[in-house]
Amino acid sequence: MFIEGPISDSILGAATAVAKEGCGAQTIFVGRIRPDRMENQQVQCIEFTSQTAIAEQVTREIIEEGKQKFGIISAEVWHSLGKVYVGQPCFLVVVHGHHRNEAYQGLEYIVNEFKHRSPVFGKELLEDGTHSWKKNRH
Amino acid sequence: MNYGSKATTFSSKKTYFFKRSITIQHLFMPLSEPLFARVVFCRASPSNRSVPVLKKTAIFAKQNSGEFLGTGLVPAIRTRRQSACLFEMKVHVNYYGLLTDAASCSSEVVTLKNGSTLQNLQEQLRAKYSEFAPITLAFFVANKRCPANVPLKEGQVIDCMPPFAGG
Repeated sequence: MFIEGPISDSILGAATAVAKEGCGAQTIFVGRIRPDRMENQQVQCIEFTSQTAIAEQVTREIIEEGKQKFGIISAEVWHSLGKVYVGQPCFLVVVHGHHRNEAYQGLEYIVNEFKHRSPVFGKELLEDGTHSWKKNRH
Repeated sequence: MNYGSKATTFSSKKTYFFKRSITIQHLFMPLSEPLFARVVFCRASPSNRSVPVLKKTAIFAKQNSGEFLGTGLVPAIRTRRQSACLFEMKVHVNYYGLLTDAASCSSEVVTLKNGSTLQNLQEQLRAKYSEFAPITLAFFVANKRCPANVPLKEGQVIDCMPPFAGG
């Protein structure tokens, strides 16, 4: 689930290439590093850290909840660790559903719950060499 | 470690010695029974700065030759430092995200009173690091998020986290 550095094109491609049995809809969310400005300084990259054991357990729970609540078939989540530069992908969620509505709802649920419950932390490295800590807007 | 020259409740004619460095095994100290401590007795020559404290008891009667004499429970007459071992515990705290900046470290050992809870740990950390004040902290023990009233144990590893910011 966690990979070092940005999510590669091969992972992005492979995520959509696999069709689950009974799948009629596949929804994908790709999170990228936004070119934010913090106190007049441009964000160069974000360095991600995590307590991965907890994050992986929580993510499994969230996916199970997605199955229970929306009837999705399955879901996969990838997140970067280490430095990811502006524009590069750092977060990928793929949801497989029987129909588009459950796939849409399941995707939104998993993305939001992951951001809220999974222990991942982002250190925004600024152009002047200082840093600030990323805060999620829920 | 002066275990206590007043610990003369064992009556016998023979005097034994224990070495300062190895006599009291902290791991064996029964924390639930603070009136007693389990110790390892060794015979030591007067030349190696051992401290004579206890006289032989029936427990050790057959073990009067050789270096190692055995272990046993003895009344706990303690120095302040020894009392600390009995009434305090240490836990290992890992910090994440902005807490690593606030604490200037990613982990540390924190000493708490025996019987402390996560709430006590949180109060102690907030008192130690003023930068923690505006931060909502989450605590995980054995990879599970725990409420504030959970009692802590000696040697536990605790993950202390600020609000998450992935995605």
